[in-house]
Amino acid sequence: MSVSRNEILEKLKEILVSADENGREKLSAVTESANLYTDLGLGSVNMLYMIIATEEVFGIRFDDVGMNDFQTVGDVVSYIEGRLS
Amino acid sequence: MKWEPAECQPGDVVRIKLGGVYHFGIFVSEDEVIQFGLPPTAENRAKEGGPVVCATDIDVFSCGQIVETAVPDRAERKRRRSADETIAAARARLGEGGYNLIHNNCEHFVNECAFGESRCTQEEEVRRRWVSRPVCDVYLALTPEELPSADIFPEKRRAELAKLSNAQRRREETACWLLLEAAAKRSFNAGMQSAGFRKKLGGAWVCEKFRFALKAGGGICAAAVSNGKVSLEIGEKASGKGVTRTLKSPRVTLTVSGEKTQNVNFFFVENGVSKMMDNEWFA
Repeated sequence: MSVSRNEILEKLKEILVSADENGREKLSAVTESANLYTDLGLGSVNMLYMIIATEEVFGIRFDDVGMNDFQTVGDVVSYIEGRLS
Repeated sequence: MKWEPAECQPGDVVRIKLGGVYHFGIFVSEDEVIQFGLPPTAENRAKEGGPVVCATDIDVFSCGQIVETAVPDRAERKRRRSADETIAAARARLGEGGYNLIHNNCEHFVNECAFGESRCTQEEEVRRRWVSRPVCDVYLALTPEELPSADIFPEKRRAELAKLSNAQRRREETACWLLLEAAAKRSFNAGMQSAGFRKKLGGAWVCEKFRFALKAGGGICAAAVSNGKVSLEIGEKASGKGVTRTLKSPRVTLTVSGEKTQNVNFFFVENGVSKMMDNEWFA
């Protein structure tokens, strides 16, 4: 499966919007440098949602992942990119 | 399984709520609650090293929150290990690592100790929520100036389009159908050949995997795909129903209505790449 970094980011935006519809405006314009907690205000439930939805969308499995492992949107994109390569 | 803030007995499965998630443990005594990782507070998260199965007193476990005790239903009681077996299973795993937020967490741990079955209802619930979420995605593209040369599937539809004598309509409908192909792939991970397209007796095209609507006008082509009924209008909004957006350029008003329009996503497709549209795109 060949997916570009930009395509991963676009899919991730869609997942984030689905997790928090109230944040649509902010989330649909998000960049890789956005901090998941301080910029996007992701709570633990939405973090779980993001990871599980990502598994479903990309057909990957998040191994060895803790709540603390991702700080920015770019960290998640890099992880997905690594799993897909 | 029900949960009650009852007095804990040795071997009970207990939990606390932190933020939106639960942290689980096996209660042995007020001095010994066995859990996979410490409660996920900001302070505990900042600690070095991965989570391991550990024992703490009830105060460390509870973090000042109400401790709830599992009350198994009749079927669960039959599968439930005895208190001694549960405690022995938990103690045997002290110091064990291999924590995984989704696939091997504190809830998997307590269920394995108490029922011999590693499962996490929180994960199952979130996965259910994702799979059953309402989907209504609208894909937009500029109507091409030339007739697209790509092949259309199904063949019967391709033949229909080839017969259209109005060149503009032929160009628009071909472009819409190609847009549908991109939408099916992105939103439903479905290829055109596996999506199950067929033509109804009334002449409308439908597909088994999702509902769709196509429309062209004002220089744009649009394809809406959804897991519920969906329709599209281009031009001024005809009724009070649906979600209406006006594009900045070209200046076109689009209305999408249907059963699952709670969260409508708009995508702009250019050179085969879909980009989620934020408010900057709309007037």
